[in-house]
Amino acid sequence: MSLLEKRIAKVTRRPKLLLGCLAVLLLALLGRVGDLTFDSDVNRVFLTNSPLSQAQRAFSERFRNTGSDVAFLIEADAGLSTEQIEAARDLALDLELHPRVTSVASPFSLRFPPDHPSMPEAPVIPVEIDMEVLWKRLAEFEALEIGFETGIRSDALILLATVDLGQGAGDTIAALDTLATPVREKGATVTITGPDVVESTIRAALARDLLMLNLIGIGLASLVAVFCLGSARLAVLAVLPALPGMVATVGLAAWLGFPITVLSNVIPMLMLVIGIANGMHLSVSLARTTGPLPSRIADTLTTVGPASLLTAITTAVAFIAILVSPNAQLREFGILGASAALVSIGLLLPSFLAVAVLLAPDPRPAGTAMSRIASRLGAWAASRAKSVGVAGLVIFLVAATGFWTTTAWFPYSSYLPAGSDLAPANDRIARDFGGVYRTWVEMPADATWEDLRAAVDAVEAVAGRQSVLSEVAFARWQGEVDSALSPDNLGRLPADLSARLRDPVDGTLRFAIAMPEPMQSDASLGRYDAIESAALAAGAAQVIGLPAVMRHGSVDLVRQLSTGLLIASAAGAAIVALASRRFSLLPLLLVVNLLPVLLIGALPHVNFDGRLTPPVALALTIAFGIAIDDTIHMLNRYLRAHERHGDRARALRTALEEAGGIMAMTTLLLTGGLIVTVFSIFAPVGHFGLALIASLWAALLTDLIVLPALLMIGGRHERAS
Amino acid sequence: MNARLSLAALLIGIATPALTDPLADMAGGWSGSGIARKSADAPEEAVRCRLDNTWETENSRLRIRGRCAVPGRSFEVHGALARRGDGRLRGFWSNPDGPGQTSISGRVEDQKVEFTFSAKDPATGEDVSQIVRWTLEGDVLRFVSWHRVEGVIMADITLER
Repeated sequence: MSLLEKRIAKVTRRPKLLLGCLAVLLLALLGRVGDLTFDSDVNRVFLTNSPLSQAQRAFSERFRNTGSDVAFLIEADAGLSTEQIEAARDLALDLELHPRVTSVASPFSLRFPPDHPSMPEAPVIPVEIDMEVLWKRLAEFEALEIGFETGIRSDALILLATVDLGQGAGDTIAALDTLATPVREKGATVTITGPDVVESTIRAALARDLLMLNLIGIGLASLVAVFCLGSARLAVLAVLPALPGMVATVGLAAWLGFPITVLSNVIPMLMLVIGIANGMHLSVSLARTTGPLPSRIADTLTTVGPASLLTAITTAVAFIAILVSPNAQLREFGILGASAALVSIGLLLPSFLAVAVLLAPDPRPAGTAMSRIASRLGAWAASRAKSVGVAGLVIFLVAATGFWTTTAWFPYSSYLPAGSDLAPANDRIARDFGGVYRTWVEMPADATWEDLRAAVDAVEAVAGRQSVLSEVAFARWQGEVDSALSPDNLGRLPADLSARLRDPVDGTLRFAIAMPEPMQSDASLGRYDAIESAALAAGAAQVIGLPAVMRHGSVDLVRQLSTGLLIASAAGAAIVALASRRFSLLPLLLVVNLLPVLLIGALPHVNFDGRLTPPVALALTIAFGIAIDDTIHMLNRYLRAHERHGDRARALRTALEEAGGIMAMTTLLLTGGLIVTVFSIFAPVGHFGLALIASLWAALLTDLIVLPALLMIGGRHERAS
Repeated sequence: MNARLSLAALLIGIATPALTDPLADMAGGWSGSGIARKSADAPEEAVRCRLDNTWETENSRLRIRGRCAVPGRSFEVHGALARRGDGRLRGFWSNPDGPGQTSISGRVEDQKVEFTFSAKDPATGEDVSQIVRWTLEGDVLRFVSWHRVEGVIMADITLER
């Protein structure tokens, strides 16, 4: 009996003491869980250390106190009535009176120009609303081609407010929503939206989603474990040791000071399913081992334990690979995932030991049906090793080409929880009123009024005059377009707006374009690119604002994640080769584990117009980390069997019998646990989970078909001398 | 600016005590809407106001604080009104965004309070003197003001508690 076995045997005499120690450790890890926060900051999603991100940070910081853009979309399917328009005007005035609102732009604040022959500075919408007169005056105002968006259509109108949302954004939004009650009482629908409202909505839904995902995940994974193992006791043995890892992950996030985000809320559940997969290997191995219980446990832990530890390391490496991204949110995801993988395995092995002493079943065959299927599949592939090997390589090359020709795509609105009114409202605003986001064009420091006019003209030609908010448009309204607005006239604009149009600190000239998020559709992306090109070609210094960051930051993100995937692949394969001291296995490991990832990475060509989103790219990196786990278990058993009797075919048979069935079961189990993501109210979480599931099944098939074939070709399994 | 002055005068009207000294009834929160115009020849604009008045029993004075909004902008209103020993009402109005502080004086007839004020627009020098009448009926206050020279209605606002 080795020293380790002696120690294991000693611990098996006091399982409750061990469980008590683990409980204390877990409580310590949860010590700061009360500080856990939830975050959906759009800037943190997209910003990196690129020059554009730095410019955006500087712009946000410069105007940090000017408030948030909030839009009130008022719609009436049957067309707006006089009463509804009057109620909307009262709402606009109530907003003006709200202490947190600094300015309001609405159809009611439009006035005819001072030099209008019959109605100088008269409100375009008169106090007494007669629908015929109203539309006639609006048409007359639009005919002046000043460039102001009227903000009213036959069945919808929009009010734009600059609001200090403060710390409790949700409460402020709720208070503003109450002001809209009289409009709703007139039969119109009112939706409050805007960049910060979107953020607040996502944040409010995150906590709910985290709890739901974990609870349903535990339930589904447990059911699949019972189904696969055919024994409730074995299932408990597989599931129970994985729970501390999941719980500890939430505690770790609090200790690290990382907020839970749309991405990181899947990590606890991910740790659970990875833990149960390891628990499955351990419990099946224990069930198949004979002898006194302490020896069976020691044998199981010394046989499967090192492989489990190695799988945790490769999973951690996959998470660490994400740190190549300078994006703060992704880095936190990587750090939390890597530390959670290591802490989870640190809790899982002793937990398994303690639970095994209390619940271990008598020796019995387990997972034999799955093992038979896996063995037959592997044997079939091994019998035609070269054909399968060549086919695998061809598929690898095709998949790699497909993956690298995908297009980075990141629609932020897809992060809105399912059923939210904001997505259709944003679409409506994009279609009729330009959009809820503002791109800012910044002129060079020495730009003149003529330079500004030239840039505004160029952008208006592409974006349409009514989408562009500029000092030039106000000058047109004043009838003095040949010179900049006088300080008095500039002072007639809301202070938060005039400061951004003409910076009082350094005199920088800017103008804004209302638009939807660029990656809402191909058309919106094309429009954004055309606007940006026109502005830069006309002499603008830079184009900033959330749409610019969304446009370019998303591409950077996906590129960084792809780099992370490559690093994870190389590092993971190298670690496994190093652990087995067979560097000749490196190409085999890379092919076998990259093949499923690249296959799923190329899938967007089939169903998403070749668009690769960050959640899917992230899933591929994590999938590699998990997929290589199966390869480790398979190779571990193959190499041990080969060392025992030196026959490759026999060693492969043994490996397939011992590990193949469990690999199939763990894949089923992971599927059961991860399928919970489709219940997430966030579509990207569902995409993440489905991409992960698809990758894991592809990985299983690769491990059962391509790996056996490649192992039978040449002598890669031979230990390098 | 003139519209603000008109509103200011109207709002001071809230504070003018009747023979039964209704000033105390003017205390509390009021909100409502109506119309106002910038000058005698300007078009009407929609206006909405919210007031939070405080009655000071010890010196029979009403403090008025609130905000009014017309489309595109809002402004604070602030004033005080006290009853003098001869029964006449004297008040002042302070509007930081408008013509500054101006005095008013008035009288009470039955349920109506009428007063006048004289002022000039500091920007244009135009005479913006007005006659203001307010009527309190239960929980409803109605304000109407006329341009003293042109005779046109400058503001008409109905407030409710």
